[in-house]
Amino acid sequence: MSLDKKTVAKRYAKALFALANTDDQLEQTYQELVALRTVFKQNAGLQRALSGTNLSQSQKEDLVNELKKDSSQLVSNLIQMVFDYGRMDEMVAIIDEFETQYDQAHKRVHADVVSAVQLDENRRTKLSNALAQRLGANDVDLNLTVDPEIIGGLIVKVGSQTLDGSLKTKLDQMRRLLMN
Amino acid sequence: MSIKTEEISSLIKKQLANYQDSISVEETGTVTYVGDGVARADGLENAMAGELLEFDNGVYGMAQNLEANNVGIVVLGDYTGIREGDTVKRTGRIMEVPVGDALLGRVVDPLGRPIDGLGDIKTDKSRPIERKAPDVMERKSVSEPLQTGIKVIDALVPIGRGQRELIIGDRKTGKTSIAIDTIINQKDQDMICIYVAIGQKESTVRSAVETLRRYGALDYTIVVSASASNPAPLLYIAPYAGAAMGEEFMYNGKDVLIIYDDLSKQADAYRELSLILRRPPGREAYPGDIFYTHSRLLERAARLSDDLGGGSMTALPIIQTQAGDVSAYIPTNVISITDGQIFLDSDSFYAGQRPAIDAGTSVSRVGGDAQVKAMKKVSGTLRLDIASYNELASFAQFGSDLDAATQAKLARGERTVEVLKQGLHQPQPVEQQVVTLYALGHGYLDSLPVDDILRFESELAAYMRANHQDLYDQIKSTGKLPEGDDLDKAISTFKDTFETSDQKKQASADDEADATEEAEN
Repeated sequence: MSLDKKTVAKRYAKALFALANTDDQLEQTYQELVALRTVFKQNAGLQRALSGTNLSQSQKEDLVNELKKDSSQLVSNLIQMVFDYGRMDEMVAIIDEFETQYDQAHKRVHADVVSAVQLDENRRTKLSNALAQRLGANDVDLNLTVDPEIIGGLIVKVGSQTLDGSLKTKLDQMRRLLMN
Repeated sequence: MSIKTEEISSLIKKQLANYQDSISVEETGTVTYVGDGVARADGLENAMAGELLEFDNGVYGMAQNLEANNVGIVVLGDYTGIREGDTVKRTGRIMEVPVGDALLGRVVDPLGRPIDGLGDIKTDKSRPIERKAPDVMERKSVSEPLQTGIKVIDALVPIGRGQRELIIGDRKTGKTSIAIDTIINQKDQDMICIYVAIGQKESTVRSAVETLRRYGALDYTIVVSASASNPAPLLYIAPYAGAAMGEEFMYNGKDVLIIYDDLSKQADAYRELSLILRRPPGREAYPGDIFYTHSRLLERAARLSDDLGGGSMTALPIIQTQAGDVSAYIPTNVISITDGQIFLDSDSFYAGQRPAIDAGTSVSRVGGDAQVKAMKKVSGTLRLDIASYNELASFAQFGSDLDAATQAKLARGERTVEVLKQGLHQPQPVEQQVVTLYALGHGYLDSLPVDDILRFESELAAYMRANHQDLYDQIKSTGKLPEGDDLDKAISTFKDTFETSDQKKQASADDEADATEEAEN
């Protein structure tokens, strides 16, 4: 049975994290990987091109070299290895996994916040402080989106936990209570 | 009395000050795959095995496979409304169904929701569908009979309360009819019946419900239906849901009869589910734990000890065989789990012997202790008689001259087989069965033509009810045959008045002859 994306990504990320940690290059590696992920995200076809058969081997190698150009030894080794093993498809997943491990080590959490209206600076700090306290984290990275559909309140998603204080959910609950 | 505005407002103020709008905190996951009644979700790291999960659109699911990266969920309902990327919530509850008296007379689905259009079921009690069976010290041995009202079963394969007796046979051999007749016979016996229909046609379930209603049996019956149009997960949980409903009554000291119709379909549904969940297939592609699915279900049938109220749950699982093959995987499994089996034979069914019970292969391992004494007495040699008759009958087909003893044996055998025939939905009380079998065993039927046996039987019953109800009552209350020769006298008095069809024909011919003679004169 072939391994699924997540299992593969976990293994690569774990190894990379351990290596970066012993070499004291954690911060740098992380920054580079985030940049690399941005490249992949901005060029939607890149991942597919590297793992597919549309390009010849030499064309792919050119692309990989381009990616490796400005990166540190560790990251360039990673790119080369992932490419050699034909795991380019899992690159973004590996970076995501690495980020999870990095976050864990630094007690940092990512929170997806959905609000009905744009949050101003004051509220954002308040929210991130409140979340940091609640989750016992040092740093909260907010990813804000606006969705008028939820009418009011906030929905905060942290990992597999959802804190739902939106008006829409409450109305739904009320409706269900009345219907049954 | 005046309303004290001040007081009320201050109270409200106080409450308002303490009122805190609570936000819901939930553990969620994301659906990564959905199809064939099964979904997979990322996240849900703390989900428990068998936990109830809720999808965005209100459909429930049950966590089945807890794997390193995801959770395999069986969807209990319509899975077409679920999309990739939807969220799944933990509910923290293990699957439960509503239980209690309010369910009696109702038709519900495996989640306990009514499907008979008779409105809500008002009960605040519920039970988890999976529960460990009562253990050794919580049980008592089976000692009380459960009368099915079917002569051949009550005489040859008696069933006790708390027993698990398998009904097995090919399609269209009357398995369901035996089950339904048994339910009908429980009228006024203080017995709760649960009929779990698994993977059957909606029309079949409907007609079963109608039959029960017609015979007034629905009042003490719960019908749990997971029909063929329901997805496999519902078929899989249906028997457990039924068992949970039965347990509620059993632990309250009542006697329960539960019928699983049929477990081969449940096994098929579980196989489907397991294959889609990518569990490794075993023999006949059934998953490795198929034995456990049935054994843990049937083990929940029990006779509870007196400390626990002495209630009981009798299970009659049904298994369908293919071309009489009882050595297939599921039949052998369930045969080994149950305390005996009633084997239905399609050949004898088409030969007109109904119920088509094969007396040779049907056994009851514990019911004998529970059998009524009188019945035990009159049915003692029945099995042997039938066996030796079958042997002789095939031998006698060669048409050679037979000695008187053999002929007598053949005649008796023929009448035995005839007596054991019984119409559909005509269960008989045990005292009537005893008298019939007594008449057979004491040779009252030997001189009658075989065609008249069933008529003799029903007329004898009518005669007994009219003239010797005391004998019936005596058998019923003491469970023993009446002392002295009262019973013999009653039967022989009746027999003297009984006209065989030949005599009748003769009589009417004579009448006609007389009439013509008179006319001629």
